[in-house]
Amino acid sequence: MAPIAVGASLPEGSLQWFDESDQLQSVSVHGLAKDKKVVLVGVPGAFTPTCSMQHVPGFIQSAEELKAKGVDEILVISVNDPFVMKAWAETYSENNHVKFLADGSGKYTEALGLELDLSEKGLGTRSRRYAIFADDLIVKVANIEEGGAFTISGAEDILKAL
Amino acid sequence: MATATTTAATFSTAVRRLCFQTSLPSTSIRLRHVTTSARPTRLISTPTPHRLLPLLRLSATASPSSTTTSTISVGDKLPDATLSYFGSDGELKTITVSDLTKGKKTILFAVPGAFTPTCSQKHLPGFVEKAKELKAKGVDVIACVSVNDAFVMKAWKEDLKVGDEVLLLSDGNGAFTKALGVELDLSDKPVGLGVRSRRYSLLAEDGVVKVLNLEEGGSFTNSGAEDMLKAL
Repeated sequence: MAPIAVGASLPEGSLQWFDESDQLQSVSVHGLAKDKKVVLVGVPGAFTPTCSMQHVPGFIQSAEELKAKGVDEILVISVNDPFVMKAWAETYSENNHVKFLADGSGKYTEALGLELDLSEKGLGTRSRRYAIFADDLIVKVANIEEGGAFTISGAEDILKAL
Repeated sequence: MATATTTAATFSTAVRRLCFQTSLPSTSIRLRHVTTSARPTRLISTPTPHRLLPLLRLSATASPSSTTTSTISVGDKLPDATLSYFGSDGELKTITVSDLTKGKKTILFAVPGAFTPTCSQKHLPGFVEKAKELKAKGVDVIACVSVNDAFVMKAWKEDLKVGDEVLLLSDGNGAFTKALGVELDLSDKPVGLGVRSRRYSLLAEDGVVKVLNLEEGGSFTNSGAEDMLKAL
């Protein structure tokens, strides 16, 4: 699959998360994104340094600003299981708006064409780092990094583009 | 392992059905059927549609009568493998099973997943609690293994405030788990856990398994610290 690009429609897929009552929920991407403005944030791995200390916090801190600009959902997606995503989400006590969704099997990441092979590091196939803005499923901004680098996929860059 | 058997049978039927589709190019797929036959079955078949490919992997890794890796048992020498973890200096380190077990009394226990309910709430804390007692009975090393990456294992260790009494080791690519023949295929579950490890606890002396408490899947009946204490 070629990496998703501006103008394309977000593929459908399902992602998992544990809700407030600890129930495992499966959400449809189209369900979350249709008729809405959404930001998808892809990270190579929960609890990994850049993801945890720079990339994700940026979106948590900028969440209010993004919402003020009309963004309905900010979704952090990683190829980790939902138990790990839940534990990772809990480390951000100041988070009010960002949803942490598990692409445990990596299927959605594959559908986006954004896989990153980290088998040599014992991480298996993960996701490239990215920040995508979609309006009613159409990709308007696609800031996709080479691998796990952190140059253009931060919250600031999405804010500038909105 | 009933789930694996049923799924493997379903998959086998599906692939056999595909053998009669002539519109696709042919390919050869090696299968391990769930039988007592020692010979793997080779099918010349048309390639499976993409959606069945995960089932292929399922059969190859979860067949209970796989002849390549039988399940570890008492009296066996532990296979060697490399596990990883983050040291107290924050550096990624590796350690071999040989380092962990050569000339030592070692307890290895495995969980299906870091941060999962039974693992976090009962199994690991149990060993942390009993670590002193176990060491007083001559155990040199207690290590927890999971098919999770080292970042996740580190975060889990910090979350549960585990010190040096129990090592938390990552079998990131599942190689050690596979070598022991204790894989637990959770790929068909909605949680997206993939292939993990069955829950177990074992005591090895100089790398030879003396005690083995291997659970069916992720249940928690005899693989706890109490049971290991009783066995020592």
